Amino acid sequence: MTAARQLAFGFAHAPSLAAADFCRGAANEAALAMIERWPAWPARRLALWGPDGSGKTHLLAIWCARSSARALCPADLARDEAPALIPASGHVALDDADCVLDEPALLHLLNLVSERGGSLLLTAREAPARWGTRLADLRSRLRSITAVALGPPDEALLRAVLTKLFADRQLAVAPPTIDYILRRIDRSLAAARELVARLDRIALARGVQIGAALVREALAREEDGGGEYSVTVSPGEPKLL
Amino acid sequence: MDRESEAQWVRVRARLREEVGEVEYRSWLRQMVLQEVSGDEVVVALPTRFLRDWVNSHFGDRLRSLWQAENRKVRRVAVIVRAQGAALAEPVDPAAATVPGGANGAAVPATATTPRASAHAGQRLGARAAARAEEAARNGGDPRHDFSAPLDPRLTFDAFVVGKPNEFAFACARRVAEHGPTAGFNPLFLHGGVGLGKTHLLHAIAWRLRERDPGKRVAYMSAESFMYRFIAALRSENAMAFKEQLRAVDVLMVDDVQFLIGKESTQEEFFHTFNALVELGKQVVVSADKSPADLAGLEERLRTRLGCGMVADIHATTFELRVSILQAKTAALGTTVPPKVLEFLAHKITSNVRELEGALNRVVAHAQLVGRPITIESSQEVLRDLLRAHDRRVTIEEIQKRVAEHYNIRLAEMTSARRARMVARPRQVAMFLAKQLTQRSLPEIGRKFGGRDHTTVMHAVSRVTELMQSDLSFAEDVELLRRMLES
Repeated sequence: MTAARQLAFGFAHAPSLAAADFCRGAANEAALAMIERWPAWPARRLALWGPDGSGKTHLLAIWCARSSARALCPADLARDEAPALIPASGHVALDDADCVLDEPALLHLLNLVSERGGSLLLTAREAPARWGTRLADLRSRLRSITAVALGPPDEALLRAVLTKLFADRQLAVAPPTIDYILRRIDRSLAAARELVARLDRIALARGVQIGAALVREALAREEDGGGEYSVTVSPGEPKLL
Repeated sequence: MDRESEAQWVRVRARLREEVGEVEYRSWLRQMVLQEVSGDEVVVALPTRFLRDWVNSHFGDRLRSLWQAENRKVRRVAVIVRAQGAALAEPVDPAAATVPGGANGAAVPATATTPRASAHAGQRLGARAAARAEEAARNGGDPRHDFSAPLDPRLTFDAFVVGKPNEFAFACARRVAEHGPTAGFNPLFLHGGVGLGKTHLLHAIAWRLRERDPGKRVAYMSAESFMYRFIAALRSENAMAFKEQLRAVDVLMVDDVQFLIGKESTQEEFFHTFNALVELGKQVVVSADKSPADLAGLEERLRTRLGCGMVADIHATTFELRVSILQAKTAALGTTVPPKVLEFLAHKITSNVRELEGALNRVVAHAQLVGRPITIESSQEVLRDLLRAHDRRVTIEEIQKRVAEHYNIRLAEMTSARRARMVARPRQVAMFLAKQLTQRSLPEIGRKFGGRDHTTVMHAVSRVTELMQSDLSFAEDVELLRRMLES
């Protein structure tokens, strides 16, 4: 027989993207310094690149708040022409810029932002020089942008990020448990984010505190092939069962 | 030909070069060949009809008086087109040598106005650029420039670094900027690959024209914004007003016309505007990534019209030009970069000037951020996405192999249970490097080292860290391995 279990609603939690909540570390020092240096960006353009979870979107939000830039995603470029996308401030931030399929549209956006004296921030998983751009005019512009990498986190940054991720979900987790996690996960922010999400779901479903035992179980489950906890609903898609 | 005439010719050329400046000389006069001197006539040959006409009308008088200063018998200098096949190789230019002391010491006014990015120009640049920035800021408020996109205050003739690949286009742009439609280059069509300076020359022409005659309506715009405005005008049923505005400008400059390809109605509008302006004697300047003949997809009649004035191309940069550009740019940034690093950049970033400047900006910005001097190594790291198509991901297996080779032990010892110091220490070094250079978790690293526990890896990391602090040569060894693996 199966034990009665608490069902976890997949309430999409809202991670804090405030400047004060950004975790500084050696991995993102240069990127953060460049954001803080604005508007003194070479040619008023900056690209941040790094793996998932390395803080690109957070930095983008910090800059948008400070510069009154409009945050765009690739879908916006498919919908509207460049002149309609540029706000009064003239500044534009484009998240996941490597996912833009329409190269001329991106080129026109770059040119028009410059023409109006605005600044442009791009974020992507890879450096703009490596996007495999076919349009030569766009390629040379992308290759000339000051591109700053967000590197893999060191232990101190990973510790800070884990603490923040738990706090974002209003979970109280003791420092020894965080140390326990640090010794056992890959040194990547994406790994930290995934594990925290999994722990949150299990803890919520069972109504238990997060401790070493739960961490061990969550890590074991990951090794079994990343199987999700059977009764949980993935976040972002709340369903009433 | 007699020796005396040869020597006189060398002096004539040297003086001419001094008078007109390096750029003009190289553009128009360098290819002159002395054909003969007979009686009172000197015959000078050039390879094309265009060059012949140009030299005749612009330098004919100077040539004659310079010859007369050398040889009083000379009454006429005839400039002719050199027969095909004659002197295919470029003649070695005797005027490249220092100006020989003239026999009769005729004083030649030194009016060299070559606008090079000299140190002197660089000093003046500050104040002038500031004035231009101010003007650019006010651009919106000035009704004369309402129709133009704002000009970049940095893109002036002074800031343009001239070298062999771009000197012809530079000379043409300069002439249009100084003489407008009377230069006889209507339209001026500049073409070249991306990022080689077409936009820079267009902005420079516009700045100079506005400087010379502030009443002139100079409209600069990209082909895209020409298109956007045209479409917007059509939508708001304002097309007539748009046309009138366009035709009221004194100088129209359209950048990157290749973007009109496939935009039939915009092309049509551009064609009519173009014709109307040229007929009215207004100057038109156009740029594209290809020559008019190669702009497939542009209407035939438009291509023909675009190509009927002066067509000048900008060639790919040479190493020397790239170094000069980097030097000028470094000075403009108000910083210093070791010559070795500049040469490294000029050697590695060969595609175009835009990318070259971008690379320099990045290297300088990084050095300012971290407060460390610029070296080739730091530049390599900062520009790694430009220099390499992929980041190298170091694997635990690679680390084990390299470390085993370095300490001259068998690879199998990395996973063996042996605890003798001579194998245990290298194994610890490899674990330390695996922790540093990969993102693998401690348990994963332990597994790769013969199924060891993660606490063993932690112990290795702290042991190696300690040793590196107490034993300098050991630290150097580990550092060397790390660099080898990362490169």
